[in-house]
This record gives sequence, C-alpha cells and structure tokens, in this order.
Amino acid sequence: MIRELHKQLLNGETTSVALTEQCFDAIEKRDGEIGAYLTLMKESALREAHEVDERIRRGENVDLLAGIPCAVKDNMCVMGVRTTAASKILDNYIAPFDATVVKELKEVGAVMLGKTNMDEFAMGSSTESSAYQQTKNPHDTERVPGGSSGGSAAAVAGDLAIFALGSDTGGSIRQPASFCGVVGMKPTYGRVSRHGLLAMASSLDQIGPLTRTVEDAAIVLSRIAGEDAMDATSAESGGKSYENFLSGDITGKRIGIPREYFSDALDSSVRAVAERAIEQFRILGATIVNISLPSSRLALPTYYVIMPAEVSSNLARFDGIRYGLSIDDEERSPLEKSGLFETYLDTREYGFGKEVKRRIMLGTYALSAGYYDAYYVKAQKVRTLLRREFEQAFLDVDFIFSPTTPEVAFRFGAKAEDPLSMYLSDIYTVTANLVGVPAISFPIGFVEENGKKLPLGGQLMGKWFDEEGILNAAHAFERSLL
Amino acid sequence: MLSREEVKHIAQLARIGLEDTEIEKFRTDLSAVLDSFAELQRADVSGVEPFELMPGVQNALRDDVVKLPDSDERARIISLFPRKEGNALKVKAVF
Repeated sequence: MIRELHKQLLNGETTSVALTEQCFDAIEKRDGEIGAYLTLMKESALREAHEVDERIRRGENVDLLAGIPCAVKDNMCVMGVRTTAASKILDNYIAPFDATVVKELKEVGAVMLGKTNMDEFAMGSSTESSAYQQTKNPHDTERVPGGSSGGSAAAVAGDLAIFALGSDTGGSIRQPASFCGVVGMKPTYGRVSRHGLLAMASSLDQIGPLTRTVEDAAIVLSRIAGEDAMDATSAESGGKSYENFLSGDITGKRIGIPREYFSDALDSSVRAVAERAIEQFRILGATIVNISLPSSRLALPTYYVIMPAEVSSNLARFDGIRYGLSIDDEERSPLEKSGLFETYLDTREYGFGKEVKRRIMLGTYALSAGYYDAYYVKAQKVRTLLRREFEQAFLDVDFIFSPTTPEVAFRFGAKAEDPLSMYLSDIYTVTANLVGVPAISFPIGFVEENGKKLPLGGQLMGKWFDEEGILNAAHAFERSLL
Repeated sequence: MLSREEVKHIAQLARIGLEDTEIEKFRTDLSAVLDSFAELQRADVSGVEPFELMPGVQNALRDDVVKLPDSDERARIISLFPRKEGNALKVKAVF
C-alpha cells in the first residue's frame, strides 16, 4: 500500500496534503465512534505534508515514507505534544524531546496525524484500562480492539491512518493486530531504539509497526531499526531495507508447530483457521515440522513475575516531583502532616488506575525481602530455560507458527474485572518477549460469531535478528491469498 | 491469601495510597495472581542460571561526563516542574 501511494505522490496522482486531509476527514467522520486517537496534530501534520509536496514538486528524491500519514501510540514522546500513556498521572505532560523512532520518522518525512489511545502505561489487552476513553474494534464496535496498542491497531484497521507505531511488551502490538485484522510486528529485542518510549518493562519492551500489509511493515521497520547510543540495550546491528528482501519464496523453509500451542483446550474455530494456514504454508513449499517447547506452560507465570517487577521499578519515577500530576494536599487531616511521603502516596493513588496499581504492587511484592528468590530469581531461571528451548528449536526449524491469540476480539467488559482471564489473552505472545526473538502477526482468516466475521492473526516467530525471514514468510502467505 | 496487613505493607513500599475499601479488592486480586504462580514454584531449574542479557545486546557504557541540554530543551524541562522558584525545582522537606 505504501509503495503504491509513494508512486502516486511522485507521479502527481495525489499529494501528501490530500492524503493527510483524507485521514482527517475519516477521523472526523468515524473516530467519534471508534475512539482511536487521544490527541490530533492537524496543524503540524498539514504543514509537514505541504513540505513534502514542495520537495516532490522541486524534483527532490524523497523516501518511501515521505508524505505518508501515520499515527503514534501515546507512550512515545513527540516534542511539544501531549504524551500521556493514557494515564491521568501524565495528563499535563508535554514531551520535551522526540523519541528516537519519532525523530527517524520525521527525518524521512512521514506525516504524524496524532497520538493513539492505549491501555494505561501499556498494561492491558483490551485498551479498556485507558484513563480517557474506550477504543472500539472497527470490525465490530461492540468488541475491544485488543491492547495495549488498541488505538494504533484500530486507526490502521479503520482507515484513520496509513500505518501506526505500537509498542509490545508481551503482545501489545501483535494481539491488537490479530483482533483488528492488520499486520503487527515486534522486532528482536534491541533492534529498535527504546529511547523516548515511556518504559514499562525494559527487558521486554520493543517498538514496532502496525500496517495494512506485510510489505508496509517491512518498509516502516527499515526506517525505525538501528543502533542508538541513547538506548542502553540497543543491538549492534545495522538495519537494512527489509522491503527489498521479500521474494515471497519459502520453498524448503521449515516451519515448527509446537504441540503445546495446539492443546485440546484451544478453541475449535481458532484451531480450524490456524490449521488451514498451516496447510497454506505447505502448499507454498514449506516443510511443516511438529516440535515441542516443553516449558511453554511456564511462560505466562514467568512473564507475570518479571514484567510487574520491572514495572514497579520503572514507574517509581512518577512521584509528583519533577513532572506530571503532583498532589500537595494541604487539607489532609490535621493529625497527619503532609510531607514529601504524603505527596508520593496521594499523587500515585489518584494518578494511577487500578491495573497499574495492581502490577506495581505485584512487582513490589516479587522484589521484596524474603520473596525475591522465590519469585524473581526463579522466574529469571525459567526464562533461561525458555530461551534454551527456543535455541534448540531453531537448530531444526526456521520459524515457529501458532495463532497469535487463543480467541478473536471479545466484548467490552468480558474480562475487565478478572485480571487472570485478561492475562491469558497473551498466552501465545509473551514468550517472544521473554526470549527476545522477533515475531509478526498477520491476518490468516475469520471466525464467525453472531453473524459477524471477526479477524484472527497468525504468528510467526523467527530466529534472533531474522526479521527478514519472518517478513518474507508472512509476505508469501499474504500474497497467496490474493 | 495475603492478609490485609501485607497488602497495606506492599502499598507503602510501592508508595501508593490505598482507601480502606480498596484493600479487600487488591487482597483478592493479588492473591489470585500469586496463586497462579504455583506452577512456577514447582519448575525444576536446578543448575540453571538466571537470565541476564538478550543475545546480541550488550550494556552500552559511556564516559561519565555531564552533557547539558541546550537552552530550549532546558526551558521545556523546567516548564514541566509542578512547583518551582525561579528555575529551581521546589521540593518539600524530607522530614
């Protein structure tokens, strides 16, 4: 899609201003219902679009992404723009600098339409924990878009942006991509700079693209990947132009199907769609290999120890002192003096929502004296086991395939009061974050529920730093459906 | 099941104020999640080292040199201070 728009921009069939205005028109018409955006940047977007149009008119060489309208999840800093992570504690926060990914998009001339809704601090799988608004799934507005990058996924699926950036700590790009019928990719840990991303769990967080097509994901990833001195765990690997490596040929590639991911408990309609996708890969020339990842059942509890532990430490910075909400309650009862400690307690009590508090407290508990070894160290050991199993599996296969999610988009409120059932939504996605491998979700079919066709994504996980491989395999699949 | 006192203690460590009515809710929620970790407790990890760094990623070190922001960036950061005196961040007394 992006390549085609680029061509139209160059040959004068359209302009960036026209594309940008089309997006804002669509936002005006439909975003009242969908609720994908928290902040719109119309003035700067039109200015940026105009600049690109001028450069094209002057005959300058412009990048594939130049003039293409996009959306950015509200946990990435855009200088001078409100950046809330969908939390009341950052209600008044105006980012003083650009995240590296934002800087990179600006440099190639992408047009930023606005900031998208999300679960508060990216904690959730439905975007219901946003302190501001619900985002609805464009395929069925009675259902959630998934989360935490639900606004970004809904913006792309609802034609309110050409592409979007999301962040993925345990599935937050891939799960909403699956629910909204778009492509979503979590790169290898270290591939994309985290500088300027409001940290959730630093050893798991990665930024990645949400797009209409696999080729678009490759185009966007190529522009945001690369080493960055501002990120302490940035990988020493130059990015490349992934879009130039999509041959669509996967003959002889070996795709592993982990039996633990296809247990009897898997919903039968989801299984049917996934099995058809496996058959399609076979027809495309891939070799399907049954494999075992015996520790898979431990991935979710491991994730729910490590992630909250990192959350509790990362979110300690929101204390009402240097920026964001700050409650100085002189009206506290005369018996309690209102000092520094009370500012911390009050600011965090009123600034954070329920799920954020829950995870900070879980993490605090897991790291506290007497429990550190039993929970945190134990989880980090199991994480090593998981990594070893992946290393072993990748000696035999090129990719690992599964459904992205164990179900299609659910209804609002279905899991909001039951944290454990919400956490299960991440069962197929958390392991890629724990071990660091790249993973992509792409549409593989629909499941019909109450007369509505709801999209389902398939997930390919690849070897560390083999984004090229999974993009090519997903591209081959996508192309075969046309 | 966590006790009310434990929940209050965790909240204090986490610097989160809690209403009395919330304590019971967090007690149930946190206990349910902690129970779900039972399988983790049973996992055999003898001889396994805790996970440290991702493959291909090294901690980036740099010289410990102060790098000042330019005056615009400095102004943007200062404008975010909830309380200030001149260009100084104002904080309550610790005690």
